[in-house]
Amino acid sequence: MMLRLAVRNLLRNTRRTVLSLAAVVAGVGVLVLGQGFIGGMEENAIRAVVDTSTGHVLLRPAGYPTEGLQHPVDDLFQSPVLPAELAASVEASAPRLLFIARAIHGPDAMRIRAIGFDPERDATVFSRGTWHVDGATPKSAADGVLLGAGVARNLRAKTGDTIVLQARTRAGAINALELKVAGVVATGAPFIDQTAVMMAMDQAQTLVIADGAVSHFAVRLHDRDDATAFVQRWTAPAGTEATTWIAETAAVLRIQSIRRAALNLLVAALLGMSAAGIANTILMAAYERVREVGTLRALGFTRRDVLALFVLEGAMMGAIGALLGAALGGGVVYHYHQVGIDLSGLIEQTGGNLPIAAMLYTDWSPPTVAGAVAFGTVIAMLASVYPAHVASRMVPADAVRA
Amino acid sequence: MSLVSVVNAVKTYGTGEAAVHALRGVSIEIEPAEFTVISGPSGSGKSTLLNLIGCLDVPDGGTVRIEGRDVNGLDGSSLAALRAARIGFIFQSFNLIPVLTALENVELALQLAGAPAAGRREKCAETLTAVGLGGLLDRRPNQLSGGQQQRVAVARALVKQPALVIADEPTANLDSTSGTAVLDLMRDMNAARGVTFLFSTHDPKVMERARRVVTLTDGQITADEFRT
Repeated sequence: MMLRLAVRNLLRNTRRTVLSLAAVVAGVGVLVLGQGFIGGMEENAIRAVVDTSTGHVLLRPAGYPTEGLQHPVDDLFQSPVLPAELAASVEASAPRLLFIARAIHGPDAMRIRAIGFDPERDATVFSRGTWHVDGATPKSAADGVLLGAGVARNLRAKTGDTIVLQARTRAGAINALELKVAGVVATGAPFIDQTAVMMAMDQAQTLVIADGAVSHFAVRLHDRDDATAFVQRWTAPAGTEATTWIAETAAVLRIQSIRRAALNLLVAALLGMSAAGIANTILMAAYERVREVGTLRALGFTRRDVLALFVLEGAMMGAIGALLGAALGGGVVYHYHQVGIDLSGLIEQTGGNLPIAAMLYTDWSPPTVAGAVAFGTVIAMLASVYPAHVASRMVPADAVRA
Repeated sequence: MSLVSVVNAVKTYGTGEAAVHALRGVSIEIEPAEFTVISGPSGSGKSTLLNLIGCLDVPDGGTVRIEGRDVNGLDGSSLAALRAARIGFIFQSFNLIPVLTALENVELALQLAGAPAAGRREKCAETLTAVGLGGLLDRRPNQLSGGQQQRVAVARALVKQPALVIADEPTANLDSTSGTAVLDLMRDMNAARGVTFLFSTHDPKVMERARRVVTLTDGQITADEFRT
């Protein structure tokens, strides 16, 4: 009967209830939506780095520059063989040779990042799920090079054209080769699209005269969370350093944590307002229903029963609002978790300087949604305690005749 | 043993010069199956006395016993349990719960009295039928006339077969016809079921039907008249 009373009391002033609910819907909706987008952006930023340039663990020359378009070839190393005791946690590994070159096509020229890759192993470490290749991906030096879409646009080059790549060799001399454009790739990752010219490892090593040496060796683990432990157990070859995806994305994730804190503040403000709204609604209900409270007390309700009735009304209001907010926010998050949001236009507008992948998939987390519902409900319940207390303290002898 | 025993009850509201002495040493015994009216002018202490007997309040001095049980020493929960199980209330403004139907209003009282769920609704329906509302079980209070609402209140008070029904000005908000009908109903219940009724009223029609009229003046009993 208590539940029936609470439900019907909520429905007796629908407009007021809906207005109070709206604040909870907004608070919980923004919480779910914000967490979904920030979580998605975090994952997006991690993927942008892991899937295009680092893998989960990256071996590179000690002191290698990590900012700007810099890829020195002075301290190259031979691809290591991973120790047997670490092999079980490794899904795949692949070497790369990165260097700076000048790409020339007719009157157009630009400074590019040349990436030599192992045609057999590279795709096992660096995901190509988002790649759109016009033409073909080169499998050997004879096949030519693959231009990032932005590079091709700047050079006004297309599949089948011939470009000249000019680079400094490992010994410091200038070398240049005329190479066929095997294809143009749009990956969604600015690291490749805007600045890269990719080629088979033998081609890259020919251009730099690297004698089989590489500049990077990337490892993909079965579980990326093992990266730190993996690096601690791996004795990197002399002159190299091993780093993890966590270290490589730390700066980006710091920004995300600031965003998350800002979101939490916003949500706290929204839920604070909704708590005030619910407290006000329940308090008004308590003062409007003085005679009913007196009657219930006369019929045998204890103070605790009255308190429970009003808190139940507040909790139900919070639960309904939180469920609606979670359904709305969660629906949007789930939708974009499935289809993603294409950010390539945004990346294009910023000249490819955003450290993000082209597709943003929001973070769909049922525990987060459930937690938001519980949080909204508890806030509403707490907000209704004071007005419920006011109702429960009414003197029944006075209240029945109010 | 009297059903109700009030001995030298004192109740004062406020303090100092603003103190209002609502009851000044009232003593009264009420036996089972009585049909008693407490009368007196406004401010004489009628409602205060009913509050004490109905366990809605406790006296500042003196004792109130219901079925031999001293209510002064009871805590809020015990008083609530006593009201739920042994005392029915009928109010001047009917005091039905507006979001519940007639049947649910009656059922709420029976549920709070601790009646098991099995057969509860049937018993409530029978009681409502007995007060002439058999066809209006699913109506909400705002779909009933004043007289009908007061009948629901009577059914709500009687359904749990209380030791005592306290009726505070039960006809004050009813027209003459409805008031007479409700009074006749309560008189019939008193006669047929032996339910004890204790009224406060100014209504001459109620006093005509009473077998005992207790008059309060300025917080003291000034007359106690038994009628045959």
